[in-house]
Amino acid sequence: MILIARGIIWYGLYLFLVLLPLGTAVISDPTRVSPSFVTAIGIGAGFIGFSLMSLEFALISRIEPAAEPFGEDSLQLFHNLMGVIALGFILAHPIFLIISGYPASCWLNPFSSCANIATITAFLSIFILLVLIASSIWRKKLRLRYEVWYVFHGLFALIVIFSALIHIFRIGRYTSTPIMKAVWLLFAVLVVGLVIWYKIWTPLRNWNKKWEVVENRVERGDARTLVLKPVDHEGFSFSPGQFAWLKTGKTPFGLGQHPISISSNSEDPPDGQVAFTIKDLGDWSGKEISAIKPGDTLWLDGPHGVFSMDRQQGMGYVLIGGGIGITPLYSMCQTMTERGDGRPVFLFYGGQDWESLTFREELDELSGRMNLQVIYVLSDPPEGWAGESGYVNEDILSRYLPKQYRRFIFLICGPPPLMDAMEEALPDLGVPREKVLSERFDMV
Amino acid sequence: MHHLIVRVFAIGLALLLIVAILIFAFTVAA
Repeated sequence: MILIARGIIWYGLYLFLVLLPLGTAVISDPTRVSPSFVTAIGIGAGFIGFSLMSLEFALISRIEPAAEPFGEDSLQLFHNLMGVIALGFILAHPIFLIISGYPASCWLNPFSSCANIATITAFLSIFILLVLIASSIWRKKLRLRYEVWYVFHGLFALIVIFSALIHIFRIGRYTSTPIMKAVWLLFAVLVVGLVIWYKIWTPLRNWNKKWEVVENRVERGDARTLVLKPVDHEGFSFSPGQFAWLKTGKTPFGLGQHPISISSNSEDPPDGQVAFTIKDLGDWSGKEISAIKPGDTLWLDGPHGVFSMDRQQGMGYVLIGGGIGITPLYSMCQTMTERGDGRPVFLFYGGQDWESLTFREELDELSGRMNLQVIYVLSDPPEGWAGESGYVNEDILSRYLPKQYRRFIFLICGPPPLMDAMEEALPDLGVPREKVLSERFDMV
Repeated sequence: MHHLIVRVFAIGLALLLIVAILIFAFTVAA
């Protein structure tokens, strides 16, 4: 309940900040001449678009107290959705102003004779925003490397915000009162502060917390497990199911941090060791990870995430995983074994074929040491396969779940089709929403 | 958090903001 209250407070703060420029413009009433209704809609859309864009930084800046009530994957999804919605408001800004009589040639053509700093910065801000959103939606189709995209995404977002701020100040209509000036300054400080927080301060804190690679082993399903140990520090304690941002290279600064689930036991690991299992999905997870050798240095920012069995207690657990989404669930099973937790666990594990199921042998071994039943569901089963085939669905779940399943905690981690299917199937099975915890592993 | 809820939150917020813009326009317009 406290978590829900905290969620409402953070959402309320977000809403307050989104509406702040609009509300202040009404209260401080800086315009000497009232605009027409259509012009006012254009101005209002611009204000909302600007504040939404500025707050995009807050949604992905890994502020733990803000992330806790929602989960970082949900905040990431909210960031993605609000980015597109902000684009809609920002595009509405010039459309309504041009309808109300502003000269399109000056505002849409930065090379026209009537163009000035106000029009050029407006054009630049919207043009870069379009590139930013398009490159995010179609990053995989455009075959943009994640690391390259990551840098340009942040850089472009800063250009959008500061071009828009220059535009607002050059127009001057809504910067004439001290209170409006203070509002724009607050947004500028917020954006710069957040960038400093997670691009400079967080890596700086991790600078003297090196991690050394102990082992880099091959797993089933084109995956590798990196076992790391802390160097001259205590490491971190984590809850089973959490993840950390992994960074290769000489420093914790710079390109390419990747959110990876912890795949090891969280109960008193030897020497503070922690393991991450990474599936080969591209350049970094393929080439760079396979090239890592024992003795190499890695950087971690974590632990993060609210997807953990420790967050809610039930009379048992139903774990539903697909593909490499098995890693946090495997961490939970190991931790339960280590704790001597005898509560029943049903693990529904969806995969393509029998040979590519990561941790298959390890899970079978754990079944003998804890109250665990693993139900494999293969989309491409081998000949003579007697187990479940197809995809994890309501039918399969209802065949294996015990009578009291509504009192169990459900934890789901997998690719979008599995997550979408479970978001429909579990309410149909009468599983209370508060007993379902989920995390999408393709959040970035 | 349930991702359907996140989508509902985002769309609900967008609609709320459209209403806020209309109120703003009614308030400040000549």
